[in-house]
This record gives sequence, structure tokens and C-alpha cells, in this order.
Amino acid sequence: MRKALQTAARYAALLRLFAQNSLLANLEYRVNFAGALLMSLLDALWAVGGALLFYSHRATIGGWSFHETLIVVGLFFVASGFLDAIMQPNLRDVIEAVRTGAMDYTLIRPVDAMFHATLRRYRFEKLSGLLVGATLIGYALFQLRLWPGLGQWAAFIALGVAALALLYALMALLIALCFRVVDIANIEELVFGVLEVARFPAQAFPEPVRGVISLVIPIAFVSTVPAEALLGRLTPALALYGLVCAGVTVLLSARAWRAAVSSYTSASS
Amino acid sequence: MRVISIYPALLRAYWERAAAYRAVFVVSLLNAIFPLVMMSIWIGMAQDEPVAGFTATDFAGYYLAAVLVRRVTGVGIVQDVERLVRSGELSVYLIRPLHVIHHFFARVLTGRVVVISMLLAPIAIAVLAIPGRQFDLQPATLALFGLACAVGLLFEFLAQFLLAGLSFWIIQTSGVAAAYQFVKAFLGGYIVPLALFPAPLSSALMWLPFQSSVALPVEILTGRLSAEQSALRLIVSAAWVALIALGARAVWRAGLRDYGAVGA
Repeated sequence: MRKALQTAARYAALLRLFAQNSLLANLEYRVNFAGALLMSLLDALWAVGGALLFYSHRATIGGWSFHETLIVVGLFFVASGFLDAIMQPNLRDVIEAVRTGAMDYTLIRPVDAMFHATLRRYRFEKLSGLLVGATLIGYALFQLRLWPGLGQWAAFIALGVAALALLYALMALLIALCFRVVDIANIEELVFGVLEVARFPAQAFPEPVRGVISLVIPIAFVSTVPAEALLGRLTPALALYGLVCAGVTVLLSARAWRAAVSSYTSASS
Repeated sequence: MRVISIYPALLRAYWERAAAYRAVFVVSLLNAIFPLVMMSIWIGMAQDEPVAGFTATDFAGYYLAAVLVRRVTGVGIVQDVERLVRSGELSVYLIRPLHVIHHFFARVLTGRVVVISMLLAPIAIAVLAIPGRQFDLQPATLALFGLACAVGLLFEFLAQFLLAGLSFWIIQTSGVAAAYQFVKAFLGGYIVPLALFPAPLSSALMWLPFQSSVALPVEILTGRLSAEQSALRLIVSAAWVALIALGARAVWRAGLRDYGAVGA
């Protein structure tokens, strides 16, 4: 037990160190912060504009009102900001490191390879997506005159964290794939492409798309399900399914990493 | 005239390159996911009654055509030009007797063929699978569609070339280009059919240049326009193409004068 705690503390300290390093590097290019914020705002303008266009023709879509949909849009921005800030730079680094053979330096370190390779570098300026997303959610709640109770917030946060874990695991799976197939150009676009579906509530889609995104590829858990938790109309079975999905994907990605690393023959050997 | 005689060889060279790196083009197809997401939602909304005159079949036809046309007219050369300018590799192109614009144009043309050949089969299957008539396939319409695509491609190419010319002065040109793509996708009929915007806005959008690359060819192919409307909007597009061409020429002339890479 004590040993586990020590390990956890060590990894937490490492994580802080990685974040500090990245922040220092990011601060060298301060204009990038303004640029990223501007892009996020523009993106938000279009997302809200698109939703406004839908709602200019109908009062509700799939049972969601305009302001309820804004919560989903906000969560989409949180998720894509998370991917942009944390996963994308690391994915890029791993592809490059596997190609050049520099991956060896990561593997010989006395740290878990998956941890080091996937959480090493951040682009803090891309967290602007989180800022924009949180603002949208706040605005929507204000317009709905809705003050969620403690239980709803707890469910929202638990499901939100599970959603981020799910995204992390999906990206880590992709990164593990880079060990086998070296020349995958822009493979992260695949995740970003699929994530587009999370821009709007799952119920707004006609069948069979709705079924696919809520059960087969559980992309609905990224935005729709946490939003339902906040609005207090969550179905417990679906929430449980989401948590299980996230857990299974995380385990799967850890296994994929172990397999990828053990079968990896470096560029030098 | 010499330029024309050089083109076959230029096209052959870039064709071989495009065919060799065709996996890259598969990734570019992922760009179609956002419009298809929008399509699904519109179709869901139109199941009970049409949305502003669009039935579910209309939406399917519109977006399928939009995805195809986007691949025909869409251009992405800003990042490459930016890299050439920043690394100084542009100098290699400058000492060649052919203007650098022809290299990029040849590359864009050949890349097109690879992507479209990948897309035709899935789109044909979708068209046959979805009940109802989505496209107007009369010879006259098809000819007009082809013309609109050519004008749209020219507009896209020249606009991108103009933007790319900004790399002579600023470093983050690809950021500017990304913002432009965003605006264009939304106001140009790729994400939402222009007819579904509020009335004053949608009629204003017909006069903007963005409509030429996706909205106009798609609306012609889906049979939503009369002959007069098509002709008017083609003329508007052609006027924009001329204007952008002049702008691109001015930017590149000034840029090349200021360009100071190694060996230039």
C-alpha cells in the first residue's frame, strides 16, 4: 500500500515537472496564446451559428432546446481542447521518435513508457477550447435559469472525467499503433473527425446513426451524456455503460501499449 | 504559349508524385465528416415535414454533391508555400524558367484526379441507395456544372495562392489560412446550404466570392437554379476570380521583391 502511494506521488511530481517544462516552452511564443484563443472563438461562433440555424427552423430538435444544445456544444469544445492541448503534441512526438529511433531514450527510462510517451508535452495555449467551452456551458445554464444540485454536479464531473479518460485511451491506442505502422500521416485527424459527431446531442441524429454513436462508438458519452447529467435527465443504465466503456478502453490501451513496446525493435537494433 | 507546351510534362511529373503518395489523400476525406454530421441532423429534422423546402432526399443529394465538389475545387497549398519561403527552398523554384505558380497548379490538378477516383464509387453507391432523384443529369446542366467547377477551382487556387503570398511577411500564414477555410466552409455552402440561412443573409451570400467553390456547382447539379440564376452567379464568380488574380499578382510581385532567403 505504502509503495503504491509512493509511486503515485512520484508520478504526480513527474506530471508537474512535465507541465512546468511545457509551460515554459509555451511562454516563449506568447502570441500563440492570442492566436489559439482567436481560433477557438471563431470556431465557437460557427458552432453556435450552426445551432442557431437549426433552431431557426425548429423549436426543439430530438427533444433538446437551443440552450440545452449549447451545453453539448460547450462540452465538445472542452473535449477538443483537451485533445489539442495534451494528446496531439505527444502523438506527434511519438510518431517522430519511432521514425528516428529516439523512442529508445524513452524506453530505457525508469518510468512507465506509456505514461512518459503520452503525457510528456502540452500545448497550454490550446486550453482556450476549455475556456470557451466552460463559458458556453455557463451561459446556457444562466439562460435556462437552471441551478443543478450537488448530485447532478457530481454525476456531471464523474462522467466528464470518464469521457476525458475515454478520449485519452483512444488516443493512446492510436499512439501504440504508430509502433507498428510507422508512416501514418495525420492519423490524429481520425479522432478529431469522429469527435465532430459530439458537436450536437446524440438524439438529434436519425437512426441508425444515433444507435452507432451511443452504443458502438461511444462518442455520445463525450458530450451528450455529461450534459444530460447536468440537466438531471440521465438514464442510470446509460451512464453505467459509459463508465464501463471508458474503463475497458483505458485497460485495453494499457495492454496495447505493453504489447507494442515489447514487440518494438528500435531503429538502431 | 511556351507554358502550354510545358504543361503535359509538368502534369506527368506531378501525377507520378500524387499516385505514389496516395495514402495522404485518404486523410483529406475525413474533412467530409462535419458536413455529413450536419446532413444527418437536417435529415432527422426533415423526416416529418420539409425544412424550408428541403426534403430528407434533398439534403442527402445536396451534401453528397457538396462532399464531391469540395474535393474537386478545394485547394490546400498555403502550408507548402509557407514552408518553401521559410526554409528558403523557394529559391530553387525561382531560378527555373517557369513561374512557381505553375508547379503548384500542376500539383493541385493531379492531386484532384487521385481523390476523385477514390470518391466516385462511394458516392455512386450512396446515390443509388437513397430513394428519390437527387441530381439533374441533363447534358446542359452537366456542362454548366463542369464550368462552375472550373471557375470554383480557379477561385480557390488563386485565393490560396494570394494567402500563401503573405508568408513573405508573416510567419503564421497557416493560421490565417485556417481561419479563411473556416469562414469559407460556412458561408460557401459546404456546411449549410445557403438557402437555409435567414433570407437577407442568404441573398447577400450569393454576391460573395465564397459561394463559387461549393454552393454554386452543387446547386446547379441538384437542379435548384434556373438558367438565368446560374448565369448571373457564374458571372459574379468569374468577376471575383479576376479580382483575386490581380490581388495575387500584386502580392507575389511585392513579396518576391522583399524575399531575402539564402541565395535569392
